[in-house]
Amino acid sequence: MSSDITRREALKRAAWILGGTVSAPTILGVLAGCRAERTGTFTPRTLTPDQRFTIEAMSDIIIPETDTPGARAAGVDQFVDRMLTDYYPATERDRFLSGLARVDARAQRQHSLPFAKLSREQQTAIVLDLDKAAFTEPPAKADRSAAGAPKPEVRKSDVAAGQGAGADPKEAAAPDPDDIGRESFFRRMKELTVVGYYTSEVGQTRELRITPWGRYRDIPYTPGTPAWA
Amino acid sequence: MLIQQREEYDAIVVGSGISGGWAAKELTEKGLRTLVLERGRPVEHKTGYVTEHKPDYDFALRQRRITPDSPLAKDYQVQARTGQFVEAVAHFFVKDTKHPYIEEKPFTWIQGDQVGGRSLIWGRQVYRWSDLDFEANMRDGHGVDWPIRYKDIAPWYSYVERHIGVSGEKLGLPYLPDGEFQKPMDLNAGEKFVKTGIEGKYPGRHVTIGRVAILTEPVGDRQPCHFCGPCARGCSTGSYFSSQASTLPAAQKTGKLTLRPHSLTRDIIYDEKLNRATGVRFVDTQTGETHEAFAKVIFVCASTLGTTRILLNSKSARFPNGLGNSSGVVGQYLMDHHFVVGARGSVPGLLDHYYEGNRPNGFYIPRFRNLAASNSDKLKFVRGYGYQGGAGRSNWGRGAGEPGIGVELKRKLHDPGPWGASMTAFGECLPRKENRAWLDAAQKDEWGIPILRIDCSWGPNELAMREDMQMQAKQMLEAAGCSDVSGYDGNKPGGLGAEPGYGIHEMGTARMGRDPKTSALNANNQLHDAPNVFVTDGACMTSSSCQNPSITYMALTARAADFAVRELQRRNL
Repeated sequence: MSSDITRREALKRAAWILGGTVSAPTILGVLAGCRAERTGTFTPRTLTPDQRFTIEAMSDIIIPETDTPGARAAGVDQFVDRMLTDYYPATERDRFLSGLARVDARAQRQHSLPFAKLSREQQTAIVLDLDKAAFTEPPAKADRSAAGAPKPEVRKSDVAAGQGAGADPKEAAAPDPDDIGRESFFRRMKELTVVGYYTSEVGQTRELRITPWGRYRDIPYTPGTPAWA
Repeated sequence: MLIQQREEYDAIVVGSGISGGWAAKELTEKGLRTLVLERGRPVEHKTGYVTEHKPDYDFALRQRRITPDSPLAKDYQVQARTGQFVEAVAHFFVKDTKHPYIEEKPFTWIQGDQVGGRSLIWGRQVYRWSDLDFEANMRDGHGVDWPIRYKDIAPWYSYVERHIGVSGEKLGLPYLPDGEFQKPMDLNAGEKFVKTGIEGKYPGRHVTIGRVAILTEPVGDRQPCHFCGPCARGCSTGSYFSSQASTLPAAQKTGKLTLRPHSLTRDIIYDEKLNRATGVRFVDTQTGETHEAFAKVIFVCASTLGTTRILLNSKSARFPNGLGNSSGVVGQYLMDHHFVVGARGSVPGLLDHYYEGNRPNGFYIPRFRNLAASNSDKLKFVRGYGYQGGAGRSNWGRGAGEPGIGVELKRKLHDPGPWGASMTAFGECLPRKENRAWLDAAQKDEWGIPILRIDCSWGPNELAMREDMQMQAKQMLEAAGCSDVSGYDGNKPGGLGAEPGYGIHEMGTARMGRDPKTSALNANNQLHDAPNVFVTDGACMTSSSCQNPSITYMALTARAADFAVRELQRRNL
């Protein structure tokens, strides 16, 4: 209940009493264990349960669990819901949600299942595709038809029907123009995942570390040592 | 409704920011019972810093920058233009809906709305000006001559530096005078690489650690910086200069200070019979009631444009165009430093180097153009610019902009990335009559006070200077051995990006001068029209230099307060 306050108080007191001889992040690291994970039950304010599960699954493909927890355990889905609800203008939110719908439509087309229900391998294949397209230069507008992209209207009806229009592999492989390049849905999704993960408590204190305070100085660096959060 | 109760003091100070805090300290320490009027809410030292030391993960949006298109910026359409408007410090910026103004052309007015004003959120870079600056107008004919020279202000710089605490490196440069410095902060390995490269290739150019009003040694009960990083959230160890940490406690200690928050100054009262300014009229923004307070001397330190608005709104039969405005210059000659132009590049190697701690400072490259006089280099522009920059290893943020997912991505972001260096220029802006602010004839704020209309844009000199600012930045990084060097310039004529005001160094609208016909203030910051009214904030500046101006406001304030008290003792005021 008051673990946040207790932790901060403890941190403050320790920092003052010890006069900085024990670094604050060390204390943070120790105290982090006292705090309940924020994942598990939460009620999304913008995302539907299905959208939430899609985001949770996608984020965990982008930043998976290794010897430290991944995006799912860090609650990236909650961060995304908060950003969509409170931070982004409505147009941006809607653009994001329609991108998300395309991911599920694609899963339906390819495997007749929503993204969240696919196997890890199937999910990874789709995310790899999206990543590739997102870091491809978008064709000039006039060339879009030449790129072989299906018309967006077809996609919209797919989404509305909530199921795939068949498993034509050629169609499935051709990305929607809105999934190509800097402005693509996946760039935003990746950004939200990276930010959401590396600014989470897990990301900052377990995957990375918070720099000690007290002084600023050059230090030697050995590869494999975590970066500062 | 006017409260009929005569409040009398020896001095009134309008504003509690960088200049107002200094006026309060000096006047009270010299024995004057002083009323400080602050339009914003109280913020207590230490307990008022509600986001200090809070980790990113305890912020709902993890410390994102709030941009104007976000619903969170609904009431902050101007404030959200600056990158400093982030989740953790948004509460130290004004609500634009509450304090509106009109932009003829894009002009970003960043405002504080609390005790301490912008001293809580300022950039803390402090550089003395020199006679290269104080003589610039005289030499090239832009603006009017400063009525003071470096020798007039030098002792006051020292006085101020000793109190606020300034860390930095002495360079012995006549055009960037050394001060009373505490030991400098350290440059990191990447910055040392850039420094060695630039200084080797460009004799006479210098790369030094920023001179900052941040302690590296204790001053009184203020502690040296503990390198937590985000100063603008407030500092409970008082390690950087703010009114709360430095000047207001000194004023408080005298027992002579009355600090009144939620008190918005409407105008200065001019008594036609006595032929002098006698006090100020202000609104208690919590009750809506108008009050009057009276004093022998008045220091107007409401920030450049806030002060301008008060002077212009102080109309009387004797001064129908506003107090101090017989010359007509009040509101004119608005300046700001132009920036968001420079270069960035990759620093090769150094992968066995890293750094520890969050240093709220970077490197500084002092002006190197037109050093003999304002146009001595025969360039396409007069005057000059300096750079602020830094180097560091890229962090996890790079993951969002590069292809790759999964374990590979996570492994990559686990380690710090390669080194990069960047620098942005701060350029001097010429005083031009057409850059001005005035009271709108119709629109008023919620207390019935006319609001400002601002018309300001960069002129040919600033634009020509920007080309050089970008080119030199690129050339220096390349010469230093950086790769992938790219220049940038955020300026979009008629749009946002590097528009006037964005530098948050606005100044010049009630300038000092030698001639009452062409200036508002004399050499002691007294209004020519009303010698017991002093203006010592950015409004008083006759030219803009290219160095950050705040310490000059502080020094001028302390100097003017000393003068005012001596004049009071001589019964001249």
